[in-house]
Amino acid sequence: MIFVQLCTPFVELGDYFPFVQSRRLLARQNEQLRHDNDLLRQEVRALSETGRENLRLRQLLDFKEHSAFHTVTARVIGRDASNWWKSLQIDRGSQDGLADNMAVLNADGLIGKTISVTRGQARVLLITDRNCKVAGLLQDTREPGVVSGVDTAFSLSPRLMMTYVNRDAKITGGEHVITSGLGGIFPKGVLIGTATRARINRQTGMYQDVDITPAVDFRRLEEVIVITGQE
Amino acid sequence: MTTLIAIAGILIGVALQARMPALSWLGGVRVELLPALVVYAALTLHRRRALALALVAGLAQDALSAAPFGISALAFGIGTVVLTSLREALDRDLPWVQWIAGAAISITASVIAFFAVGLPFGNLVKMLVAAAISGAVTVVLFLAIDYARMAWGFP
Repeated sequence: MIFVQLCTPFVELGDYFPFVQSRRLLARQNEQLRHDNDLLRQEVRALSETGRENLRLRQLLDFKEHSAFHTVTARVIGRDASNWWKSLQIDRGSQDGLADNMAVLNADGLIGKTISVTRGQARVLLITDRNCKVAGLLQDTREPGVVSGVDTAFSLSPRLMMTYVNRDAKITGGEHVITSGLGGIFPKGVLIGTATRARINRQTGMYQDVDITPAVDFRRLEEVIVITGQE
Repeated sequence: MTTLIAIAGILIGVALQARMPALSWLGGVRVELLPALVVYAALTLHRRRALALALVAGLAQDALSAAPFGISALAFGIGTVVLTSLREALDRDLPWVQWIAGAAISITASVIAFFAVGLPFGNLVKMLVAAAISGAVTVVLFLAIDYARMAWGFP
């Protein structure tokens, strides 16, 4: 009887052994689950990136299907190494049918034109560069002008400006600016941006300058379309 | 050997410079690594070798830019000639000397771009910000290369 009483606490303690065992098991399972979780999170991230890329490519494909041009899709593989010029490097070149002075755009609007085309790569001069001039047209008022990038003394970010616009034109903020097709490089009707402000040119007083917000976010370009010819 | 390492550094630097995103919170100013490498070469190597490296750096930068070919080489070359001439008077180990030298090379490149290609001599803020960043990069580069030379015993 005494022996039983003495042993009872140990018997009860024995109940804890499965618990201790299961704790070890749980710890192992926990570690395994953490590992699986990490893997799954990586996979979700990768899928999310693929999904986003898919969406961007779909937009480009949609544009390609509805456009009347022969186009080549290219990836952006580099930016301009200098602070004073604005250009991109793309992974398509003359072997893909590219040549100098071809229009480059995406589903949002006009990006620029090709310069320095090599066999497998090309450089794209962005419309925000002051050396890239585009014949533009205010979509509602049908007033033509020349769009180019502007660098100002006390501003860090580049802007677009449309110059040589008829000084009597009534321009409202929010009006779309599109390419006019003049000059032969950029096809007619591609969105350049939105007019924000118009003012009489200070130096000559003979025409208006119109500030434009670009339609394209140039910092986030990953894929572009190059127009290689008309269908 | 040192020249080969320097050329490899220049090629890696220019590739990084073209791949790194611009600093959007600073209005899209790009971090320039090559002025720092040019300053390091000018204050460390023989004049002829430093000049050759500056030209390589400039041409490499122009190759990855829409800039007229050779304009950065001209700027880096002029900067190197000036820095190597002043080398006796400069204490290359002082961080503020390194900072000023880096900023000066960056400003030289900007000013030559303004005059040679007709960029507006506005854009003053961007020029100063780019120069300040180049100066800071130069200080960091001196620190890193000098440490590596000490640690691995490069000549």
